[in-house]
Amino acid sequence: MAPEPATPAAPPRAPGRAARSAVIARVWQEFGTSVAPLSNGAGRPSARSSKLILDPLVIRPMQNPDLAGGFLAPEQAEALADRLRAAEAVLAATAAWFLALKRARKALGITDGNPQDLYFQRCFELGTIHGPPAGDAEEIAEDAVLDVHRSAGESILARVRSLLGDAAAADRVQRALDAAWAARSPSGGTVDAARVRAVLDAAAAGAPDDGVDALAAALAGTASADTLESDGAARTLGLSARDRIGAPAVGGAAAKRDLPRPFDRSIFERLFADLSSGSNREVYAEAEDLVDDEVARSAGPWQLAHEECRVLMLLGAELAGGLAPRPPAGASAAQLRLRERWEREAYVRRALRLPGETSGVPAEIRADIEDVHRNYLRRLWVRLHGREIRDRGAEAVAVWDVLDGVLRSVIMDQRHRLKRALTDERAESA
Amino acid sequence: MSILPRPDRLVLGDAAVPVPPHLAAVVEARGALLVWRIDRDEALPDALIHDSAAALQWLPEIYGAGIADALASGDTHAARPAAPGAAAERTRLLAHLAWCTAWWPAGLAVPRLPAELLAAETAVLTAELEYLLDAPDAPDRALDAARGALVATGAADGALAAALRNLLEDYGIEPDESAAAGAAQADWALAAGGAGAGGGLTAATGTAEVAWAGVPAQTVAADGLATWSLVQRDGATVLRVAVPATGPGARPVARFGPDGLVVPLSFDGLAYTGETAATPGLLRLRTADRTLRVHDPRMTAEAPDPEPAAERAAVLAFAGARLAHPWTSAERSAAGGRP
Repeated sequence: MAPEPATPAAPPRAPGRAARSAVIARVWQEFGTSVAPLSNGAGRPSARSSKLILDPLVIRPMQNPDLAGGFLAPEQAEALADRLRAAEAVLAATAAWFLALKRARKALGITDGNPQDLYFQRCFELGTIHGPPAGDAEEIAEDAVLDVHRSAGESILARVRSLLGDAAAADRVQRALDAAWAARSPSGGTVDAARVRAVLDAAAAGAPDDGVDALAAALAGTASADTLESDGAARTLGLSARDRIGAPAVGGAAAKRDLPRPFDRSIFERLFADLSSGSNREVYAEAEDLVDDEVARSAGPWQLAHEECRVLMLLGAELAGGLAPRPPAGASAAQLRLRERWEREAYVRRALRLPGETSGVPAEIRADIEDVHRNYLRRLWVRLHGREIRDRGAEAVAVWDVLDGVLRSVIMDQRHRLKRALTDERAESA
Repeated sequence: MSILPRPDRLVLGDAAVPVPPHLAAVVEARGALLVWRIDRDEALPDALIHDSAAALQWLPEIYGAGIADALASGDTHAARPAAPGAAAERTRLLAHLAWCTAWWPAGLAVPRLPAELLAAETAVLTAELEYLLDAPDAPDRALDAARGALVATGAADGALAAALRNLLEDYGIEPDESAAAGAAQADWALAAGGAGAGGGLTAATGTAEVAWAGVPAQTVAADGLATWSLVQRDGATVLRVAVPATGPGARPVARFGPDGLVVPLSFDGLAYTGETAATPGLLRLRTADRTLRVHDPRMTAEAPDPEPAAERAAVLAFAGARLAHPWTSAERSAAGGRP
């Protein structure tokens, strides 16, 4: 009897419970036009305003966990509303500073990166320190923009590149790499498969305590990495093209397209993949530290540094088994829930009039789709690696959001490639 | 779990009959897939809910405040709200744009919709509705797809172009303001030759519908018929096929008869045409065996069956209604008006 896919049930009804986003939207409306630069076309805070300003700087769900849920009891809703109202002045100032920084950006002729990503938090700082922009606003704005772009990802990458270009430094890195890899040994731990399944099913069902932290405490991620040492194991998971995984090269050059599988990437390529994506927040690290950390990370289990991330790879590998063309016999509730997105995609693609799976699009795209479980794990690893580089371990990670979100990204990219296959006149069909 | 609007109530249930793709206007919302049927003038969509907790953050904005209680209590025949929620109309418009982009029946009777205007309006509306959409980066992707649309949009709808420009700036996406590629639609009409060139004696001829699902959007005329002819010329018999076109971009292949004789087709400005040497038996085929199926192999492996006539008629009627009463800038432009 196949299990039902785990779906989060409708939350228990209690009178007066309000959706969090509705509470925020209501208060935001009270602020009027002063926060327009932080709003989207619907008059609500834009997604980035919420993610970069409201949540981490005003609401702070980590310190105020009772304001964190999706549905709030009346007292919590009022508390949230009050917190927002108390921040009205600084939010209005933030909005005004955002306009000022955008003007400065234009005047300086800067076009790269996403202004919201780059400037929002800086604007909040300016609003907190200076209040709304006054007489010297133009100067302050210009300085802020220049400073942001100075410390943005691009220049860190350039520093790494020049570090690795120096023979003596590259040599030292190579020796550190050799030493780290020579010191690797299997953990000898075991993985309780039933427990992993239970955690996954709980996460898929939206249970608040899904047991992921307990798995991390038990070093289950580290234990599961032992299996990667056997021949072909990493290749089956899409993480390597080789039979056996080995130490990465140090490297010093990379191209955006055709990066190798994660475990086959050089140290430089691993950093490049995250730091060249442009739109992300500032990376506070020296080039040397970044490289040293990456060397150590590469020698760790799953070639990741944080146990929480390793556990997520373990969970992802277990989930990915459900992404085969047909649902496997004995698929778990969590696997079925993940598959739902995959199966929904089949219909959505037809509704969007995109090529069907068995069509004659170029063979590599078709293989891409058939290979979805490998793509999924590759994508998951890259995402987790990116989180580690930006040191967001402290940020609460909603496990299912990460696991499901990676599949969504894989699907969106496939759609994009399918669309391109139809419009690219030079593409040859298989 | 699904919400299915009926004339007087919302039916909550498990199963939902999938709406045929060419009739489906979809929005991928957070926790639910919303589907409007374009052949029914219904303000509320079917909602196929896969994550109630996530969907309840915004469901009341479509179905009204009572929906949360209805879902929780399992009351399968909840009363209809007096009016759809504030977001219902805007979300429906986003779904409509997706449908137009995929299924607008451009052809002999219905003009094409300018792709740039569709992309521009989709991007602006996607950014507006981001709070209830499934993909967090939906606005970024939609804006990226509309980078090249500024020039054409500016010429047709200044307000839309301004909104798009602001968004592109805010999202750090550089517009591509090189001259619009799609503007040269009129040039295709200046075609040389057509399906009938070549002379000879037509021994037999016939027509066939082309399934919309087997060809890309706005390529093969939606209301046209593919025609085949067996022509005798210089002692040889040739099979000629022509499919009326509304734009280049398809690479259709025709298959004729029980053995599926293949005729590759290419765009000649007015139609996709091609011919091939006829095998001797073709002339002797019974009428019932003289079948023609046309499809683009990049879309499907085999030519699908053409969509049911009643559904096609409904789509064409809907398009006509939209040209008379446009919902989008693209429709206004195609209908010849100014916004």
